[in-house]
Amino acid sequence: MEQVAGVKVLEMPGAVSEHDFGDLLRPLIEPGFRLAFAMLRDPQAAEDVVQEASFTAWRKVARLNDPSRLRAWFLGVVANKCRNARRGKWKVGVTLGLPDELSVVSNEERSMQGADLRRAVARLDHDDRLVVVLYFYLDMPLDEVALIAGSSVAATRARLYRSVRRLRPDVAVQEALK
Amino acid sequence: MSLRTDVHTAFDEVAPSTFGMPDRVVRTVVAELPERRRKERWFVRLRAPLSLVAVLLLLSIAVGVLVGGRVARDWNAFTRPAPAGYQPTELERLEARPLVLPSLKAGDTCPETPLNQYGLYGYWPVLGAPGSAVSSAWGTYWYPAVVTDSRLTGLVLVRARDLQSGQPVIFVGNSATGPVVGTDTLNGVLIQQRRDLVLDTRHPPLNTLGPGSYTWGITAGRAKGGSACIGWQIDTTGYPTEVFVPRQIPT
Repeated sequence: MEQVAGVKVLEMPGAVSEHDFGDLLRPLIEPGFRLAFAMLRDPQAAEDVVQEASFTAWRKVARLNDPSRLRAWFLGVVANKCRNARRGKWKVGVTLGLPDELSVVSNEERSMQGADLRRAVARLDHDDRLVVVLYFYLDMPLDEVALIAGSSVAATRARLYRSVRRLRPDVAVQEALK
Repeated sequence: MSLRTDVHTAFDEVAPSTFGMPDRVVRTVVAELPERRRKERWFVRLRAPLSLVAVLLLLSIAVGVLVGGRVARDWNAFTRPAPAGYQPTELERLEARPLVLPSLKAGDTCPETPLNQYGLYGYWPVLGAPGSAVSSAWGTYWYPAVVTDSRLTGLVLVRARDLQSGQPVIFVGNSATGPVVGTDTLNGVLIQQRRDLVLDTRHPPLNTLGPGSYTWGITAGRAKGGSACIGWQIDTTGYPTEVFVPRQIPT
């Protein structure tokens, strides 16, 4: 039995056809890309990660024993690919250089605040950043975040609180979680 | 504004449009699937043979290390010179030189060596000088001398035999060496008789016959019953063996 992002997958007879797999995959691409983009801050690297995650998903999707967990399972694969992409960036020279300062002249102050927040999220370690992105950016419920992060709900909640305190030290956690 | 809203705003304002991306990614993935599947199959097929090859490679390396180590050790043992403790010493090398003194039969004439221009026997860098003799209950003792070139820096091994009987001549004193072959009392002193004489020219005596040479006074002896025909063999490091037979000493 194999554990992928907290989802137990079993060997199942038969394989998913390419057409069926495409249909399964299509609605997962956008959340997968948003997750990868928020984690890596590089649109090209994010798309590559989603593509690689798709190949991995195709190889293992036949063993997924609970189709209702497909999204969580796929995002878990994406998260693992993001971790590997960041590990390998020293070797392949991947630039994660999304400009922190945007030339948005219409709302300069808001843009500065956004840049600060992106920098703060980027400073979190991978697991903390993953929880923050899934919870706040992909608006996923905590139990699904825990499933993707591969930890318990309690541990995920503790991780989320800790990350919020780092991002907004001057704001109460419950207030920030709204 | 809540943190959720801020996070949305912060990332959405820099995120590129995903319009068309799902279709693009799915198309790419589906198009590459056959190739990936083929590679997967090859990989699965090769996994077992590759594992076997890896194991065999590891075994080969292990065997190579073992065999190579043994061969290297044997080669080293083969090519390494003998340990210092087993190196023949300078004296052993001189002792290993064979005795080339002639053996005379009864009635043969003693092949006496004439004195050279210096009134000595032999030739440079080691010469023999005749000396006086005294008799004892055991036999006869002589007090000859050996003259060596002062430039010598090695050992000089002196061996002597009665050429008629083959009986060895013995030596007495500090320079006498080899196994003790007998004892006697000479001039009221108990002495040990040894078979050979070794002169270490690195520690020469103070007396000398002249500049450029050292004179070593020695004591040699022959038991009663031998002939007066004595052959001397001188072996010097770095020089060929030298043999001379002094004029016969009356017994």
